[in-house]
Amino acid sequence: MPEIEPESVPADIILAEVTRGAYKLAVQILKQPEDAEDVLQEAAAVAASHANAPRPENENYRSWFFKVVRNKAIDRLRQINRQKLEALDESTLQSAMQQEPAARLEQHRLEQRVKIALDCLPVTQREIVLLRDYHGFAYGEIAEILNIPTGSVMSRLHRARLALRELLGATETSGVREEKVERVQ
Amino acid sequence: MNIENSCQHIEEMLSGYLDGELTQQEGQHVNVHMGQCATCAHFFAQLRQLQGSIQQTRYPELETEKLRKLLHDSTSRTLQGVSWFAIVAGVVTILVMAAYEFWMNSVMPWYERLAIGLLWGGGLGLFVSVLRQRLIARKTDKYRKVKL
Repeated sequence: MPEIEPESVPADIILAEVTRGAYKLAVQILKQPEDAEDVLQEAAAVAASHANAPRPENENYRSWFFKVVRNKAIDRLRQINRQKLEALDESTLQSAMQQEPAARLEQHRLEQRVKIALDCLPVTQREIVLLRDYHGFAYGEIAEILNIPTGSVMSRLHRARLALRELLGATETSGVREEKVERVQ
Repeated sequence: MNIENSCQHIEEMLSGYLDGELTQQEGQHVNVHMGQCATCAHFFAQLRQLQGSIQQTRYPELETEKLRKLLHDSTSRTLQGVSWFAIVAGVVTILVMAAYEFWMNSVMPWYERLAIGLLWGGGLGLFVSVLRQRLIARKTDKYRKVKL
């Protein structure tokens, strides 16, 4: 029986998919859709003019384009000096949580909590967690995007997950504590 | 190795286990340990739950119109690059042809042609070098947006 060749996905569909994903990464790093759009535009210009840019059909294109977007986003972050916002702590997380309307659905609240906790992580930890858990990159690809040794991806990722878990645990505990205080009063 | 030491050793590997990035041997090692250690098994369950929550998180989508514009703009930029290359190649060809014509068909003695040629060549060289410096500065100068 002849082997059926897998159908190849057209380049423009791959390009659109990768661009959409990269836009989300830029939003995740910069937290501002407007900044993310600017960064994406700059990255698209690099992709169009770079002599060594892989073709969209190439399996490395996704991680290559994400790397360009990530670097541009970090440059932008430095430029607008938003780093001070990165130094958020538990209290910032709590105040951000309090801004959420109480009537939201439980699922939505959980999602928001995770999202806010992610936003509170330092950018180096946020990006590695999101590259793995949200965008689904393998360790080798993450190493390529972040320009770090493959061997250190697992430990960095683990530290980032621990920090995220701690942030979420902290809000959970403080939420319970607040509830108890309210009941006593 | 007692169970506590083993837990410390295993902890970091739990992330690799979760992501399917361990070797078969390492994976088995973690698997066996979790069968014996409720703490690590619970910790792993938490990590998996956290990963699931992150996967479900929603972020704003890039609007189709913006995406179309972005991809279209990239094509325009490629065309622009090709066009600029064509213009520069055309100018260089014309200059070379003009220099050749001037040298071969001029009635002037050779030393006059040489002097005029050097003047033009020097001027052109200076222009190109200044242009190059300006372009490099435009691309790399961190303080170009600072208004004095």
